[in-house]
Amino acid sequence: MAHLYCVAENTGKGFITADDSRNFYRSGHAGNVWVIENNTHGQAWVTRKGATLKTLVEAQAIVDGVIQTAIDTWEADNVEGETAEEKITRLGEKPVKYALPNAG
Amino acid sequence: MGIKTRNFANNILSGGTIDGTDFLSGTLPSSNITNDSAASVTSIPSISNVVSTVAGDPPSPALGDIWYNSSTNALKFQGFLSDAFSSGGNLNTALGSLGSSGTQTAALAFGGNDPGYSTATELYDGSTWTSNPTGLNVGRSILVGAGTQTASVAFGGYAGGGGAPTAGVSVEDWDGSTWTTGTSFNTKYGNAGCGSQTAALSTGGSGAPLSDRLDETEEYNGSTWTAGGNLGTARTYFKATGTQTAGLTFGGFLLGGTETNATEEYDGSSWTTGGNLGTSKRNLGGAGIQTSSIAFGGTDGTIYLATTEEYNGTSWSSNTATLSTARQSPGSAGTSSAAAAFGGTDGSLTNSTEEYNEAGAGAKTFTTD
Repeated sequence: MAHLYCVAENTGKGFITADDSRNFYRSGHAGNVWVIENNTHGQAWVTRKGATLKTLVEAQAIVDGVIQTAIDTWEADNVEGETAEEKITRLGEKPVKYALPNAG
Repeated sequence: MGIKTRNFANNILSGGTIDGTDFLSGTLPSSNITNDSAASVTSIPSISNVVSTVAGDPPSPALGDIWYNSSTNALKFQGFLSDAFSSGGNLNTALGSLGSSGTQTAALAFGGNDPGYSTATELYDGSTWTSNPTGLNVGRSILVGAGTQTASVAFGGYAGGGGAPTAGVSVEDWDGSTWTTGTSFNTKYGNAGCGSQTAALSTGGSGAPLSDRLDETEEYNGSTWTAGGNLGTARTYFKATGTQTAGLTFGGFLLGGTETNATEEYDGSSWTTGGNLGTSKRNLGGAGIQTSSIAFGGTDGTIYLATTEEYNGTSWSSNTATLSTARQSPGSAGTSSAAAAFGGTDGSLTNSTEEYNEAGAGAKTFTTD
């Protein structure tokens, strides 16, 4: 499955419709990055939403940047005397970077 | 046989339709059909007489109807659509590990990480989230809720505080506009809950940060908590649906740090084993009743999940609907046929809402993609 990588702000209701979900693969990521199946429906959605196309490398860099900020925030947020387990409970697990789906 | 073949040929009308008033019924043996049987057929009707051309989709097509929509240049038919998620209105605040209750068109979101301990309370009308002027009395995360948008109870949670975060102990009742302190119960967070404001169920969770897993169940009648039957699998970070007397729990995080696919059913006094989830997961969302629930999102310990599973009272099966944004720890509301997932984390906190709808019959387009 070939993918399109783009940036589009999720405007809420109607941003992705049920028909969109049925007609093309889509996955949303940090930084308003969207991975969209490259078929006629996916292409039409990108146009309709005014999304800005990115390369995989560019899209990955945006996601990594947002998650790195979350990692930095997590690491800097400490309470004296707090155990590692207590910190995870308080903040949730430390964010982890991951690879966007690759067009292959 | 000669008369019947004559009837068959005569019943193909010039308009391209078949006159069924005296049409053959049953099975016609192939040995009874000879080349001479079609001798009376003088022309084959045009396909345009079978597939109608219309300027727009017909208002009430029957299952199996085919038409050509000349406005959109699409060949369409009436078939069964697949279940799907679609975007809903965004929360005003991105929240993770929040409490929730209500339905898809009248949901309630409260508390959670923002990333601190939030008191925020937001109400959803099926399109838009509205922030309530006042919030929870005790800001907290990893809490649960039960009830409706106008009558809910929030219980459990992690409230932190100073150098020694402690588990939240408060129970708060919601009347549609204000939270008031209710009757406290045993200290815990990461528990699962279901039911209503006056008949709620709390089960499992942790009493101390990641160092234990509870199997206790407590029942709330709107004013007091009483002990119920113990879970078979003690766990935290899991989901419950249903009612106080017909509850369902699934997924979770076991002592030792592994996810579970365990499902248990509650009858008002004891838990029994149900069918296992297809994938072990925790921090998931879900909606429904004991005999019909869906589970969506969560994490398998490695990745955030976008997948959905559905329970029929006996076993779980994969559903084709997937979240656009894979996430863990979302709020959730609704039923197994009309649910909502909101907030959670996909690496960072998200404010997005997605609505799940079980699909029925609908217009589908023939495509070559």
